[in-house]
Amino acid sequence: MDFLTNLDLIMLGSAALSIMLGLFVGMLFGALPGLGLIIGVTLLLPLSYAMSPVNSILMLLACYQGAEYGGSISAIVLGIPGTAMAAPIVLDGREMAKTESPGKALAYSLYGSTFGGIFGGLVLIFFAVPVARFALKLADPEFFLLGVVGLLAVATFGAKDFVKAVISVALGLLAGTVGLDLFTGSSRLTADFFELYEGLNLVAVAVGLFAFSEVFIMLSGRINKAFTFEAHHMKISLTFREMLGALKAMISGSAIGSFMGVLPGVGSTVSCWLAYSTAKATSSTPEKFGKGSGEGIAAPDAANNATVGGALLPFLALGIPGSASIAIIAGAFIIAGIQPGPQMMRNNPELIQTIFIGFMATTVGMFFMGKALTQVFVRALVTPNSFLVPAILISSLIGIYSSKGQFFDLWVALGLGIAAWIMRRLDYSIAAFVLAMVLTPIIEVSFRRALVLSQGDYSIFYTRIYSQVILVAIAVVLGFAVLKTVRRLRDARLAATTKEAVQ
Amino acid sequence: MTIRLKTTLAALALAIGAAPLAAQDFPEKPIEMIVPYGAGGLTDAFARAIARAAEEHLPNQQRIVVVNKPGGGATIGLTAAVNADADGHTVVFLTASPLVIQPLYGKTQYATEDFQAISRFYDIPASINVRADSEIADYDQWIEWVKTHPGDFTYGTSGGTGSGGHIATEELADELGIELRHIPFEGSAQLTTSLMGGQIMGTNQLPDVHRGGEIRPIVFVTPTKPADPVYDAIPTTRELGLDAEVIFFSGVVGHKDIPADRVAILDSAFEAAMGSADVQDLFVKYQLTPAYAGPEAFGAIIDNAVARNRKTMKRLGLID
Repeated sequence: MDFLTNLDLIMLGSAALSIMLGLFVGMLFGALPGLGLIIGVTLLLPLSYAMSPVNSILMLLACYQGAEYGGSISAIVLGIPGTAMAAPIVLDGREMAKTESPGKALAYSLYGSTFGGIFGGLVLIFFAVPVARFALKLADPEFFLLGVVGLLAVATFGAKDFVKAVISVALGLLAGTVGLDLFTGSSRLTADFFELYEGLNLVAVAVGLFAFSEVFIMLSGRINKAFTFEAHHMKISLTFREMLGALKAMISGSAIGSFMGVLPGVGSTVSCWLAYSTAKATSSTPEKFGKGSGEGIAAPDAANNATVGGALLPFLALGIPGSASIAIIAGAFIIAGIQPGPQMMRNNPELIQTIFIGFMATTVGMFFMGKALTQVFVRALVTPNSFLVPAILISSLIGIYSSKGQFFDLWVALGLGIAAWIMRRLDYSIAAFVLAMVLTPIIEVSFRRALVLSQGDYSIFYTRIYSQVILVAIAVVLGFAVLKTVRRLRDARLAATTKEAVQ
Repeated sequence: MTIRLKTTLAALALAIGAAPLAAQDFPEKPIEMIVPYGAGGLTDAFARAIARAAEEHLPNQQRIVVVNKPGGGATIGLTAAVNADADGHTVVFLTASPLVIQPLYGKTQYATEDFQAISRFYDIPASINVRADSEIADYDQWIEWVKTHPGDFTYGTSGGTGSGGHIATEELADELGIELRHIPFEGSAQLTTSLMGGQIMGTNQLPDVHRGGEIRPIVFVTPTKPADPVYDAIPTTRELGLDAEVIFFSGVVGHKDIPADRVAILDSAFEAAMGSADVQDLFVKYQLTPAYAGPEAFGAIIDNAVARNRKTMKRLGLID
């Protein structure tokens, strides 16, 4: 532990300040509808040029970590997830905040996030190289199957109408194909708009589907409506018992998040949904999911924050930045004169150790800053809609425009917002639509690439050992679900017959 | 009479002073430098550093403002540049693909000829790579392997079908009379992991052996190589005498109707910027070789690239 002797107070102080600044910006931008992680990181980037390498990297990582949690705040308080990937948190978070206690809902989210952040950090510190090496063995057949598993999560959303859920998924799959086709180079469903060549802008989609449709619902309801809660329901804390009850969900969510985060392009998309459906499948009270289950909040939140450590892992171990935000952070490494690559851990051990320690500090800092900041955000629930609506709209419009600088995206968001509002009134699932849309690129591209590689031989999907593991997992989960349903039906029938017998 | 005299005198004065005046009143406002990519990447970093350095060398102490206009495979930023006034106050910092590949598909609202080359700053090297522990040790072994296994060598590119990496590799395959199998990827992270995991046999991308990585080059398809002695023994297609070469340039272009004297003012400011400490520092950090070229030389590079790409794209059936 000789690096401890190198630490001095000024260095420690400036590092702590950098982390706090990063957390603050991340949480704020994550929580404001439309603004998000990428915009927060981009905003901090010029500042980072003027800082020491360690501080700038820690600030950007703190921003990443903070934004992942911040997205849950608006998901719970306003019913508007910060990103399409945080959508599962709305399902239970919003419900608990409205009906039971907003403080509890936010506490489940904060505890889950912190747990996930620490878990992801520990995996990063102790298993970076072996996990990164193992992840390399997974290829397109597995990505395809993981995408399909993610899609199966729709079944756990508790849709009232199966047919409508299927229609939502089909529309989402269609929306996901918009853009240039990777394999033929031809454009699909773009109507000759160049703005659509890279697909629908995910920020515009998330804002349209969640923020705008929520605003329309607020407008069509009583405009001065606000919730009222007793003071103790606004307090962001959990009892030890409640914490213990969500522990299983947090562990499974963290494990899924930190491993999925390692897979470039696949991980962050799937992990949150997978964590939600896994938590529901393994819960002792699955019937509470969708009605304000603490586990249903903690699991996806843990997964979200665990992916931060996971996404950092292939970058530190192999020099491969797996996500857009890590790529920006990789830029900060290069500016600091550090060449990202496998030799980074060998050549700059002090730096990497400091980053590891700083990373753990960001998760702990997030917990305390989250407690403080969330007290302010939770007020949004008791604020009348007439104040909330303009605030949400301004933040959303700025967010969409600054994400790509295209007016076109504002129209996309408006169109989707109206469509989503109609869909919600008719009981179609927005979550299912978004899930299908973000999974389409993974499912379709991996499926086609696997077949290009195997020259059209479908056996590639079940002859590889890792594919087999995933297939078995799918079979077990499905079998479990069928078994549960059968048992419930039998119990119900048994109860009915005993009742008859008594009569 | 007096009025007419004054006008004549003014006209005379203008005629005499016109040439130096026109140059001195440019730039009269800040120059907008469009970057057709999002903030935070390599191109963006260079664009900002060069803009900061070049404004010190501009007449009239004007600033250069970098504006990110990403989207549409970088074509949106170029469309904005071609729709701007041709007075030299709008330029675009670009890479090869949106200028010498995208317009050939005939769907962009601009053609390559709508742009005037100003300055080229550097090229990104690219090579045909295998995994570090591959049985294929060098170029000769690679040729032998692909000739005995026609169509079995799978190579990935980060841009997919019709991208620069795909076209460059197919140009080489045609020149060598070999058959390779292209596997499209989106982004270099998935491409790199796929090669390292052994799902594909090769790639066309920037190798990373100099960073301790496992992407080992066989032959460079660009005339430049990363400035690291580890690549000294790796041939380029030019050294092998092959008629297959690509230049993934990065530089600044503007509207084709920008007056020549203004192009010259811009070019000399950019050329001077190449010498600044900040820009040189970036070259070292990103391990790239500075390769300045002025309007004429850069224009020739662009014309050559278009001719080559058109030929290969026709052969691949990507365009008619």
